[in-house]
Amino acid sequence: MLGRNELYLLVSRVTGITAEETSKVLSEFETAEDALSDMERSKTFLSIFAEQRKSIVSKVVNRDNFCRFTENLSSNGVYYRTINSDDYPKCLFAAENPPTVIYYKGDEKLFSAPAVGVVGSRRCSSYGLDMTKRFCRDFAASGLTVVSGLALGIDTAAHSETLKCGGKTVAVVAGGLNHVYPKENEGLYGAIAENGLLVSLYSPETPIRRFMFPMRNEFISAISDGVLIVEAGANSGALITADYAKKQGKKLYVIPGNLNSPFSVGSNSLIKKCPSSFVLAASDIISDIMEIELGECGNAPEAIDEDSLSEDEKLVMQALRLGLTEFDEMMQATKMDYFALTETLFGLEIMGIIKKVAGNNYVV
Amino acid sequence: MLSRISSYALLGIEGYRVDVEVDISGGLVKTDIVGMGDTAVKEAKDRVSTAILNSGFSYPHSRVIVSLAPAYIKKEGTSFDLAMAIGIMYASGQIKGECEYVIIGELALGGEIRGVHGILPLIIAARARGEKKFIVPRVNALEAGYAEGIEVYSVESLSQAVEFLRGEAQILPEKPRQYAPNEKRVLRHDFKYVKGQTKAKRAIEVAVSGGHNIIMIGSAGAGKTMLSRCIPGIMPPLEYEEALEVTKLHSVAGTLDMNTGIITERPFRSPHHTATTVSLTGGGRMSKPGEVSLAHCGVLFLDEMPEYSRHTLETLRQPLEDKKITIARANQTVEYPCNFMLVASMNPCPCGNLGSPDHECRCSHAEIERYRAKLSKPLLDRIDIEVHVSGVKYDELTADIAAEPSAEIAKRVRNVRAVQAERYRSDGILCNDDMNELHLKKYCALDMESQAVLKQAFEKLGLSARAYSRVLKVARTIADMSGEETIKRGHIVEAVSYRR
Repeated sequence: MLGRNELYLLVSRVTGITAEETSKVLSEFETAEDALSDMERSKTFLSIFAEQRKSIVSKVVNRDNFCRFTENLSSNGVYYRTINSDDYPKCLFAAENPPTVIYYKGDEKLFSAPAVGVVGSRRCSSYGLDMTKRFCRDFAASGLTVVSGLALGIDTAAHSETLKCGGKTVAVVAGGLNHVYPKENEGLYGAIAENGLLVSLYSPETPIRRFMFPMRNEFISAISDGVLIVEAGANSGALITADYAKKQGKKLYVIPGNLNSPFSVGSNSLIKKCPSSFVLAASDIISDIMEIELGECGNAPEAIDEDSLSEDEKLVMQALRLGLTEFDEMMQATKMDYFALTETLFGLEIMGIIKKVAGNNYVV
Repeated sequence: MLSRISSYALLGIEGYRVDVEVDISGGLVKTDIVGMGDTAVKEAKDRVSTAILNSGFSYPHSRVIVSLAPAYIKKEGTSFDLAMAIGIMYASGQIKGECEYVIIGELALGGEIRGVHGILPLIIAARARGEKKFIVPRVNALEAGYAEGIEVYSVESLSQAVEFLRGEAQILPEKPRQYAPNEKRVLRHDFKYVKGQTKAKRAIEVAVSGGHNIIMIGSAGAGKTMLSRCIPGIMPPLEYEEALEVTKLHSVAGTLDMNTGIITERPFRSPHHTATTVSLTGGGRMSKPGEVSLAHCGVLFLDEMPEYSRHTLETLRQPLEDKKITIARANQTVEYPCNFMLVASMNPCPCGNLGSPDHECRCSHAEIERYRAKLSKPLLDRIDIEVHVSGVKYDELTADIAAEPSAEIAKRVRNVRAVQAERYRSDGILCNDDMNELHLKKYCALDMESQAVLKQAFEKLGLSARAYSRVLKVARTIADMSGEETIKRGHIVEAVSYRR
């Protein structure tokens, strides 16, 4: 059926068309059937707006091409919603220019679920990753959907930790849904398509361009009820998301960082500008968004059964918590010999409590 | 009249006999040298005739033919000069009788004798063929003296050689030198000056004890280079046979110090990362050993390994495997030994700050991936130990704790090496790193407990299947270091901690 919705879809495929032009076209024709059955007229009509778009228009306004396009959508499991329809996600109206068409893959119920955006820099510290995981675990447990941008670093940690804990997650990707970026996240992309929701502002075949990254940040904020900035350097894209959140009247949350750390310069200065964004625990956010009362205890680090650890392991964990993460430092602090410490670290790593990172450093 | 002098020439690091035949007959006054000589050999006729005249002898006024046999092998270099001159003296009757010496040396126009490269391999090859008496340049005397059971006479000038052969002058044979490795060497780079770095130092000791290759990863200024320079100091001293082989290689390459004669220290070679492939592997028109062979029995240090060209690095794979390198060229194929320990260093990322607590890493994920991908998997598979080197904190630098001196570590290493040599006596290998799959089965049997821990490590820490034999070999070394017959749980755990 080529109805009114399809007309919106058809028009949205004319790249570079403005909102004003779109509305003119929409008033000119009733359905996609109209436009496609009188191709000559629609082509001339559309081309009036911009001479240089002639070739695009004649490619797009073509019954065969259009049918192939819609078939491809359904065979790839990609759905779309047009702005005129009732099932268009309401949350997207929070954005300044809601897209005419939104494409998605996965569970569309997540558009309306209570959600928090979790964003941060691609380059991040192990502290940032640790905090992301800690907060997302609690979000997942309380049923709060985690929205992020499928980028490396904090975004990846947010998505994967939420999925790991059985939570729901939404990824707003930068380009079209056929292009997985970055390549490293191909596995994660598949997992989100199955257990979460992938959202794109562009038709699936659209290749990724630089400008699309800040664009999608607006919609991370739009889909979410509040935005959590985990860690942001001085010029991080996460700060753009924070701006959108303020503009859209969403709640902003920021996790404080180490004053020495270059990875936290941006997020710490956000707290200074907007002290109410300061959060100590995921429970602050959960109770805020879901409007339920939670105790202070909502956010304990993943429960490590300290009692089950041996004396040596406890010593090592103590040293790690004090920030002594380097092998030699730990040796000095715990007064263990080389072999005992190697054994203990190995044991803790096997249990999945600590992890070795660059340098001879270990993190909880 | 005809004369015949024996001389020797190099093919790779082995010598072969060259008969220098001289015939003087009537005819046009002309000197010809036949026998596939290169330019240096052809030019010898001018050096030889001038040197003979300037030494006060007469050069025959007739047709002189010099032949270098076997004629089918291409001859290079200047080491036949002296043999040709002496041959002419015999053929022209200026010396009577037969020459029973092997003669090697280059002539200067004034009749002085210059040194040549590769004396030791030449003499050793000649000795193997039953030659007993040698005349060599004075500057090479020290080096030649290390070959046992022969008489070496060193000469400074052509006239001295002629007088000696005529029986007019006496020269005493060189005193045979006893090989004595320098036990009380003073190390320029000693572990006692390296503060902190417990993990790296231990990893290095393990690597040297078992002959394992090692890669150090650390940010700029963390001390990777300093650590690696200390490595030769804890290696066991060179055995006589090893020393001979190392000296031969360096002698052929022309990097031998004439004043030391024989090399007693393990070589430490650190070619810059702009090194060409041929400079590493050896070869070239006049085939010379490359850096891999010059590092034979010692350390080949590749600083900033990913900076080397990919092609150059890949050529290291075969030498690392075979411990020798075969260089085939159109006119000859030579083989050089290259049993070296590879010590490599690299930054964790292109900017070098990844994992550093003080500096922000500015590299993108893709940049880091690209940087690491420069080292191919097959190459990394040959490196058993990977250790992170973290920068030393200021307090540690200024702390007045004396670290263990290299000499102590060297003692331990020596003992562990002896244990291995004893164990592998019938297997034809020297150390744990040389073990093949069969040896692994035979010598690295695991008890239940260590098998369990290894399984855990593979499952939980995501070790690759390739890592399996690496971990076993290293665990074997760690067991040897603690004097244990069997590999225990603790050894596996430590070996796993040196994983990628």
